[in-house]
Amino acid sequence: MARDNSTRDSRTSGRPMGFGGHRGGGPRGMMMGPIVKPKNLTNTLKRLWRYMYYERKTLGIVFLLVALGAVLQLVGPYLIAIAIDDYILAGKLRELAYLCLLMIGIYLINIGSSWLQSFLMVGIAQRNVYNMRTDLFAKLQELPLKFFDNTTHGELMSRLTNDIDNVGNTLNSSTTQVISSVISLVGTLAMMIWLSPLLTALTLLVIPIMLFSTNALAKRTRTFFAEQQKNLGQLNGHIEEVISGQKVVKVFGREQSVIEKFNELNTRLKDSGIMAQIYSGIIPPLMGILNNLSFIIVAAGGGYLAVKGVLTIGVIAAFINYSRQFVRPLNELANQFNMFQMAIAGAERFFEILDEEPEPLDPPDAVELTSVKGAVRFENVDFAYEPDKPVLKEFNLDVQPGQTIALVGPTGAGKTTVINLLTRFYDIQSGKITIDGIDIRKIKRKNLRSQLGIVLQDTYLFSESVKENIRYGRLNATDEEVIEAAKLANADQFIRRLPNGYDTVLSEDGGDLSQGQRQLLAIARAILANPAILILDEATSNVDTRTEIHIQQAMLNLMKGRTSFVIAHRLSTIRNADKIVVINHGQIIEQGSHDELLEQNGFYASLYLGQFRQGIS
Amino acid sequence: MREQLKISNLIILLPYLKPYRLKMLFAIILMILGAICSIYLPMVTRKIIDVHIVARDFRGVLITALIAVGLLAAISLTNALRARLMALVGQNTIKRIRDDLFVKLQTLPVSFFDKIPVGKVITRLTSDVDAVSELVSNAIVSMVIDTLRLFGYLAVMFWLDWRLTIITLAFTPPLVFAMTYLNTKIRKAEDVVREETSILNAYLQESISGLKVIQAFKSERFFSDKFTNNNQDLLKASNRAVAIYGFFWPIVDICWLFSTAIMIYFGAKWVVEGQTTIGTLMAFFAYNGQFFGPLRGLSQAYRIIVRALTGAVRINEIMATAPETNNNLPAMPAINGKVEFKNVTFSYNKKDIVLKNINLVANPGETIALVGHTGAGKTSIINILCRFYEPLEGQVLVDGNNIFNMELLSYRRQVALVLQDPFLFSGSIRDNLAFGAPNASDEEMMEALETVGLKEQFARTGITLDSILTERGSNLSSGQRQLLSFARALLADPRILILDEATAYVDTLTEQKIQAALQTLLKGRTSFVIAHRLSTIRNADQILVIDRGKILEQGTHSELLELKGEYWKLCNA
Repeated sequence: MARDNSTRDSRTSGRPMGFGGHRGGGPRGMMMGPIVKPKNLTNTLKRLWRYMYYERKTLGIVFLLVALGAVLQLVGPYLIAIAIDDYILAGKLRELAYLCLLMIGIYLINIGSSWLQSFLMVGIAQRNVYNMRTDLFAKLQELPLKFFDNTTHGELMSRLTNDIDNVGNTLNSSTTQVISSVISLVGTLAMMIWLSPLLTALTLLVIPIMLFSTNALAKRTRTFFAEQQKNLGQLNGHIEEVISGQKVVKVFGREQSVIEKFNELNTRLKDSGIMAQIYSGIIPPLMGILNNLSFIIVAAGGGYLAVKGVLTIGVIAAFINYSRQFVRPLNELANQFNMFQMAIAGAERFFEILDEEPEPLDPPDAVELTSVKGAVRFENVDFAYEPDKPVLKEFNLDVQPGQTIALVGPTGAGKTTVINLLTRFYDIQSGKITIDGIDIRKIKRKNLRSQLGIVLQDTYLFSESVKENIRYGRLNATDEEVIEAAKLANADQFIRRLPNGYDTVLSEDGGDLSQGQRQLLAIARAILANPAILILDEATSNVDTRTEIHIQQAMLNLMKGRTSFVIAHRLSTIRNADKIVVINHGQIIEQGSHDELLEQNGFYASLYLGQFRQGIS
Repeated sequence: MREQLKISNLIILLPYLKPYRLKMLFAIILMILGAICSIYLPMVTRKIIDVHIVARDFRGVLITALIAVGLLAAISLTNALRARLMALVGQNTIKRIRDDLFVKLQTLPVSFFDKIPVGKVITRLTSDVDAVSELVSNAIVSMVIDTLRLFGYLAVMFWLDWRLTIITLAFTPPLVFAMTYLNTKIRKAEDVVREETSILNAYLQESISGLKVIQAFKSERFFSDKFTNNNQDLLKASNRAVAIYGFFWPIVDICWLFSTAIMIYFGAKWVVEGQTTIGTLMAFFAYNGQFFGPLRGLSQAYRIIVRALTGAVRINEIMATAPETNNNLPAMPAINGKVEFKNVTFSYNKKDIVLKNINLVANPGETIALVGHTGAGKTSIINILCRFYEPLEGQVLVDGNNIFNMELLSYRRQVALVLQDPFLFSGSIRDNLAFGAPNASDEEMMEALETVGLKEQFARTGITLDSILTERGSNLSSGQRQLLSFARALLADPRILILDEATAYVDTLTEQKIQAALQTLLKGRTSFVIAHRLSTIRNADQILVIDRGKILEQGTHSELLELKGEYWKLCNA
């Protein structure tokens, strides 16, 4: 009954958890990363339990099955002792046959229960992961923009994927493992002591060595693997940079220095790789050897006792099996502990997001605007992203319905902020913003945003058809309306030239379209949304002149009859505006029409003379 | 795909492994020794039981136990040594393959990189090389050891008792079935899971990146629904994978169980009948489980080999790509600056003509503005001037020398390219400036920074030459990045300057600075500018209006305006 231990161990580590987006790709098992300690264990566990709670009945069955399996596991070796001593040595073959059948029965039950158990548990874990992911995603939709500005997208992604997967995997494997490990540990020890206290003492001699050495090695291995990962990351970063900047490297003839740096990083990676491989290569054979050592000690000790007539051969055989069973749960528990810690840390990061403050609820007396004329007023508005760094100070602006306002000024002057405030992506600290005389804080947020059309500088396009991308402007728009909007936006022409016309599916973030085409789509989106108030962050990126003309026309179509705020970069846009607002250091320093401002001969005039006039031919 | 996966692809490994042939030989000897010891180990137990215990010979028990300890020590020693040797061989091999591959990449023409996305190139250098190296460090070892173990166990078992061996082997076919058939099914199911996961992740990535749009257009609900659908698909796929996987271990367990039970019964019967000994039976129990390990190891080795082959094929592809340098050509003498295109026709794929019969003459020090729609052929002219691509027909002469007949580096050293995306590398500002001129002193660098108007700005914000730029210089503003790339080009002091004018997000003040710096940069050099700003275009000595691969109009600003042609239309737009 002495099965290859390494095979058995691989059952637990090699079992796929069902969702493993992060698996594969070298030695990146969960064990290899640095271990992050959870901050508040009990609280996190309590909250996790709330997810488990729905599954409590199934969970109960799982626990019973696990316990049953662990107990049955204990019976096997004992039956072998009986088989050898009472039947084989006594030559009772018929009884032996019955015993064999009994063993088959017991093991079949064991196999069945462990199959059922793992099946149920995986189901629980996956439903939990599913629920957690759904909750997190729903939460993300409620969070204010501020949150996304402060968190990198990579980090968010990793929470949505790795952290939740970690929690799920651990729920799946660790919980049952821990229970079964504990039961079999205690049970095996009890059986061993019962069979022979002396041999038990001998067995326990090896165990500290085993635990100590594997623990020390695992720790070492982990640091080396972490280092290898770090070095690999640096190497990849270098490759990415050099390959993306290939033209620059070539034109400046810097191939050699780039190669030298690569060499250096590569050598570092190699060195850490050798260490990681040596150490990780030692653990499994070492475990095997220590196992065999304990086996030999027991065999020799048992042999002595058998020679003395104290123990029977059957008992020795049973004992050998127990001593093997004893080591496994010990290792298992140590592993599970680390995984458990990582999962809890992941769960904590998960809950951290759930605890983020969502966009505040609309006040109960919030109103809905029905027909908006488009009069907008900023009254003494103060605003800061960070408490001690004011961005807008005593900001005042009065806009009549239908007017086009060009916001002009250096980067960081506060132009984008004006727009963030109007959309209530951020809320002002003091003062008042009104639309048709109503404080925007008293308007339902959704209703407010549905009155505003926003065309951002970096239009985000989704990897869906062109049609669907335009339809984001108004989800219930018909195909005809979509095409109509595209025509007004001057986008119809180029869309029809795409391989599948309006049904052409874009690559991620519309990577296969030119900047200009992307802008036209954004304009079409806004036209479809048909907002009362328009916010335009005019793009300045590289568009060729013909596209440029298209965009200009489309924008004029879009702005017609709407109150429009334009963060303007193009002279024609600025000159055509009803009012130019020059912002510097968070304050309006000048406002008026193009001609008025030129007459004032101030900041705008200097900007204009410095750059724009060169453009007039 | 299958056809390409010929073992012969692995020949690339040979030259890398050759220096380590002694080490590998030694490792293989160690493996054989270790395998023999571990095969022999259960025999020792058998001896203890059958000979010594039966004879009540306690000294014998002790001595045999000591032999066993000796065997263990031998196994551990050979294992540790072998692991060390193979780690050295394996890691050194990957490192050298990766080095060679990277060096090779540096010699490849730009056309190669235009065809293959960066991500794929990185995969070649990492995953593919790793796959090949795994062959060296794992699969070879595993193939040798596992084959030895497999046949060693078989031999010893047959020698001990052939009937018990047959009982043990009787359950190998279902085991193999479980491992192969189910394994493929499991892998397929896992592929589905991985695919669903990546769909979900891609979707997440998008919805996070596009969050502003989602919120601005109030489509949260719509998005949540779609997410829920994706999430459910993933759940379904996962459940399916798990359900299939659930059968794997039960089958293995049941096979093992029945073979053990049958072995106990018949073994016992034969012990009672005196045809075999208890010790042999015990040894068989030990061997019975051991059998599984080598089989699994071999099937893993097979997978590694397939992966390594795929990797090797891809690596070979790169290694076989023709490099761009030809060192037998004469060096380019110091450039005066006259540039001529004579009947240049060009195509990226030899099918679609991108440039047709381009003729132009740029005198030393002139600025040539290239104007035209996206796709007109402006970038292609630049690509040819930089010698990234060769024209199909015609000649490009610099001071009368055909640039494609001159030594590459000697030519490029006198050319500078300033791209719209001013590609900066992670490292200090100094490193980035030195990119253009490796020997430039700090004073020269500061001077260049001053010329482009960055010195004062950097001083004010506490940025020094030693300040570290993050990847792509993302900790600078886009205007600063632009100016820094000007400084880099200025330090390189090229005779020919090629510039793709950026139009990206800069405010008006920065814009003015860039314009001023640009004028300094252009002064005294023959310059080709893909121009977007009217001011740049107007100041040019020659304006080339390019349309569909042809020069449509050519002349100065006022000349072209008088023509009232395409340029006039563009200006009045």
